[in-house]
Amino acid sequence: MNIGHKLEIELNDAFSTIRFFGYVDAATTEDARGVIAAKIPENSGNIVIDLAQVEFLDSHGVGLFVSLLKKAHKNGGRLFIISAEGQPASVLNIVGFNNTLVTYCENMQQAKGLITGRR
Amino acid sequence: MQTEHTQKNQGRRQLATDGFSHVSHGIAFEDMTLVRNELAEFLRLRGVGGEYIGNAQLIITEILSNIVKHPEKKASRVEIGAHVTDTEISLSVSDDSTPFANFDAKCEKALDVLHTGITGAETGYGLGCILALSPTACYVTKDNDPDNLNRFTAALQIAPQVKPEMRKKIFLIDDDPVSLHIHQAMLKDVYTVVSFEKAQDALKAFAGERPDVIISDLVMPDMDGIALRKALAGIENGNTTPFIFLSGRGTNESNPYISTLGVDDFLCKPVSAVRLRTVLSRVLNRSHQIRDAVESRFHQDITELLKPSLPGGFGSWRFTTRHRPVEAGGGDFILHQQTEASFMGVLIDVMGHGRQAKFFSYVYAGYLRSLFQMYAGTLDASHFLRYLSQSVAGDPLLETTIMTCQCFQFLPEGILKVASAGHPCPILARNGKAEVLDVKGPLPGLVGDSLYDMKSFQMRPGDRILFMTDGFLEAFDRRGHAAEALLSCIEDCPGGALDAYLWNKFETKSEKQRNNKDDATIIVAEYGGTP
Repeated sequence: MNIGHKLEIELNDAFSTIRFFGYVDAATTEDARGVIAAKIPENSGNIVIDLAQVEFLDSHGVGLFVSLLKKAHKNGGRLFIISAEGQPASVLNIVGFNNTLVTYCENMQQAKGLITGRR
Repeated sequence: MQTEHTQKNQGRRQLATDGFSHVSHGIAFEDMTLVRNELAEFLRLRGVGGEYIGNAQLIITEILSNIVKHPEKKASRVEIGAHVTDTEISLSVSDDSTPFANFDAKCEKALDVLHTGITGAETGYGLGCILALSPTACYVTKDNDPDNLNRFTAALQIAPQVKPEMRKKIFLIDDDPVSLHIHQAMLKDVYTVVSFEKAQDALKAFAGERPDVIISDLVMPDMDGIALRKALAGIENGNTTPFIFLSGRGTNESNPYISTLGVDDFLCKPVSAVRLRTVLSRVLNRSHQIRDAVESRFHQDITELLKPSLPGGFGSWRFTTRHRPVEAGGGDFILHQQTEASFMGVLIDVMGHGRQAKFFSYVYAGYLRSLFQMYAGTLDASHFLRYLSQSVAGDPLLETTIMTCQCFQFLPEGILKVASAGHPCPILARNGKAEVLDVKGPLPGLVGDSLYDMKSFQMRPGDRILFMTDGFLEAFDRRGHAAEALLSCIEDCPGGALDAYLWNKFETKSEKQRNNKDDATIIVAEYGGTP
């Protein structure tokens, strides 16, 4: 599912993947919240956020990720962030999105390995 | 949205206005991408690295987001500015929306959120991001602004960028082209490498190219490495340029003569990239240490010679001065001249960053000293500043920097005359109260023929006047209200020597803020009444 080139959602049994594109900021997060709420099951456990294609992340994006973190934890899962580099990685570091809260992975394969290993 | 995007770069105004400017009539979330991209382009063109560009974009985005989201009355004018120096990116956003209330309290809350980390709140990270990147960010509401604009300013510290033209230049000399190619490849990412297959060619190029280090093979036809080193010793700067031998034959111990040539290191082929870079870095650092030690001694000597000071008094006036010099950056100076009828002084602050600026301020001080001595006896404060401004505007060398200046005249019967050129206003302390004396004027040289108002004040016995430079005032900065903070501080002075009290406060605040990048000077003049 591709929503206006801003995000792409992929669901499978073990986890949900949200692939963001371009800017995750005040201009895009409200729409993204609506789409995510509609498409990601309420009981979704593990959630993977793919930032490989993200150029810019601001505090609104951080707020969105916190909501996903809460959702994952509520359902006994974890939030995985893959390919966080450059400016997005810097913002996540500033606000305290550390390894105790989320699991950072270099790529989808690594995230999949950790998730399936956990099952 | 209408935008004006200007990047000005015009001679003397460069330091003041060479910056990014984006003005729009209102702003929406959708406009921010454009602003971010324009800002990134501006910063990239100035050689700012990607990490700092991202941080600057984040600060601007967070400020603008708040302007879009929160105010009751939306902004109809938004001005975004950026300016880059060697050490920081200054960012500013001005707008005419309803100002944020309780900004200081919001800052404290945002910092609490940052320190606590992610606890579940889905909002409230924006201001924390700004403060994490720019701890001195400040916000002044439009109620306190002459243009009726709220002003958010932030400064982002950046590591000095190594521009291609600033890279260290290495002369690499080897008659073996393969060896030359390999060693060049090892160094070219970090240094500017100029290669020569013949030592004679390197010698010819030396004066024009001025390398920072020479790396030479030892054994070469025609002129070998030893002959090259000896030839360099006989030409200007040749003896002080670090020299490394890179040879396929033995070590310097196998040729004791080499150790008498004053070379900095000897490497044997084959050499690894790590080893070559390590040695090169060490040799360059050593060279810098020696240069720094010489410069430091030079600064100490000159600083002592130019230390701002005044005589103890004039008639019923008593003067005290306090000064903190810094080794790099601009400089503060005081010039004075006394006649029977009056005492005239000038407090000058030459602005700038880095050691070059310090050196330039010394040059400026010399120029101003001669100018002052020529005209102080014949011109009053306002005319002296006008003449100074004309001189600066017409001089291409002086136009390249910025200075502020305040000229004051003390008369025996308690009259004080002051004219100012972009300098902080003086403060009058009278009967336990403090007030800013409104003496303003344009920076010297800003326009061709600036006129300066000279204001006259009648002092009463016991009155004290404080003159200061920016370096002092900035220490009292409470989010854009430095003058108010200083006034409160003066009014709190329990009595006794005002200069000692204020200086103590200044040093405490400077230390707390780790703010020691600028010279700071104060003059306190006390009028004792008619004898």
